Amino acid sequence: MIELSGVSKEYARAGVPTQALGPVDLSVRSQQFVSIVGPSGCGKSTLLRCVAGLMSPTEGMITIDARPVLGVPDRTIYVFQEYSRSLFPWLRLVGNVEFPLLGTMPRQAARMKALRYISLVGLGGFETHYPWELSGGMQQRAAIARALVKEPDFLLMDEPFGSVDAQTRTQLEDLLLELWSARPRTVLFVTHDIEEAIYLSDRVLIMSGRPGRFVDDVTIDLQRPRRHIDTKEDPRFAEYRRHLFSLILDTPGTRTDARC
Amino acid sequence: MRAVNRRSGVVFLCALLAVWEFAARLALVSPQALPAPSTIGSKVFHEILAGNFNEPALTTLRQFGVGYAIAIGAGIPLGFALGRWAGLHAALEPLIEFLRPMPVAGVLPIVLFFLGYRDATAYAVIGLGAGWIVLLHAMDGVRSVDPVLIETGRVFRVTAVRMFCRIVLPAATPQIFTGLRVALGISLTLAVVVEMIAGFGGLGTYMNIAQGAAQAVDAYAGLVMIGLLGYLLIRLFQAVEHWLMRWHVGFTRQ
Repeated sequence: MIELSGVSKEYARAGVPTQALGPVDLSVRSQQFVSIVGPSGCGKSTLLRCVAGLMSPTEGMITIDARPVLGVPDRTIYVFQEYSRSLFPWLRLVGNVEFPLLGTMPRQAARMKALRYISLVGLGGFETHYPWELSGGMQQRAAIARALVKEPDFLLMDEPFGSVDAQTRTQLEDLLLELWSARPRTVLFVTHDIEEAIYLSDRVLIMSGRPGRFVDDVTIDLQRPRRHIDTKEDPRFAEYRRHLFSLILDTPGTRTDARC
Repeated sequence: MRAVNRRSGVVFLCALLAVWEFAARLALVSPQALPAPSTIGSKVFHEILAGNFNEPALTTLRQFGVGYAIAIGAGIPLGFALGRWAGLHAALEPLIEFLRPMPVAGVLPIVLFFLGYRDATAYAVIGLGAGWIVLLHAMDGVRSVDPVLIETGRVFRVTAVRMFCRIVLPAATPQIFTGLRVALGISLTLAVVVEMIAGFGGLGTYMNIAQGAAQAVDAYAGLVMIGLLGYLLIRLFQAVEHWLMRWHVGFTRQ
């Protein structure tokens, strides 16, 4: 369970404090897949980085399973939007994926586990490739394998599919859902893409423009497992989309074409 | 494409030597200042065969080697420390930025005050001059590691030691190697300069004596030897670098 109460973040910009986020309250149940959608610069990435312990909120309290987030929390992995910069270019794929395990288990066991996760994300055969020898979509698969290999209970993803082509994106979305249903865990997923949010989530939160606040909280009642063609043809999918789009368009200062 | 480039390079070099040969033969330039390349070449050849270069070349190589080793041994740890601890860097930043553009050969007279005309002077001058370059590159390398890589380490909750050894260090190696490569050239230059000025053996002193005796051919022969030495050292360096930095070659080409 992830809980935020009264969380806000203020940046000093050229000496002038700017309210970037909140205050927001949020409570995410265990094993729930929750997306946060909002316009560019609304603070949704800031929120995620606060939950990940990479930055601390100016005010408010974040707890994960009732333990306050002070540093980077245990059993929580954050997946970077900049996946190509997040992979270690001096390590081969297998070296990257086993990296989080080294020091926590014997080397041989770490290697075996890394290899299993590599094949799980469909990168079998590329173990000895360097990250920069892989395509963008494959790099993101590698980043996902490296995140999941530690078997986190909480997965925080910041626009993970923001910079891959549309087709790769649908594949990655399905991969993520597949891995999630095989081993459900709490996912907090930030995106600027409304359809992606609906397709993936149990629940979609809409954020207003800066300073970001939640303007709506929509439960997505679509059957799982989801399929790109069937799910998106479901009349309820269209309804959710219409509702969320009109909400985004009506909220002042919101635009969804640019990324956070 | 590469083969063509290499061939055009060789052609240009031959043309240059031919023009030089002509200019020297026709005495367009005083032979006291510019002997013919064929004369220099045969001089180098005979001096090497006669073993006359052994002693000066080994002396220069020794001074270079010891000085370069000091430069690496001191420059890298100090650069790491300055790159790693922001407080230390902040305290020393004004001094560092003041010294950064200073020509490294400038330390020679100062070192002579302390150490006098001894081998230790050469070691100290090279160590200081080249070590400074190594230090700056190591420091800048550590400081300019992509923050996403650091945050990735934080996400995986790595220890401070692992963060430094497994993330910061490899990420900084390309820049560290740049520093080592520049420092190699500077070390050799300083070795020769110290030999010329302080005059205790080596190829620099060899050239100085030749110049004093108005033996232009000998002076040029010494210069060619220094060039050969530098070329061999840099090739050796590149081989080591290429072996250690295989990932970086492909990474920067992507």
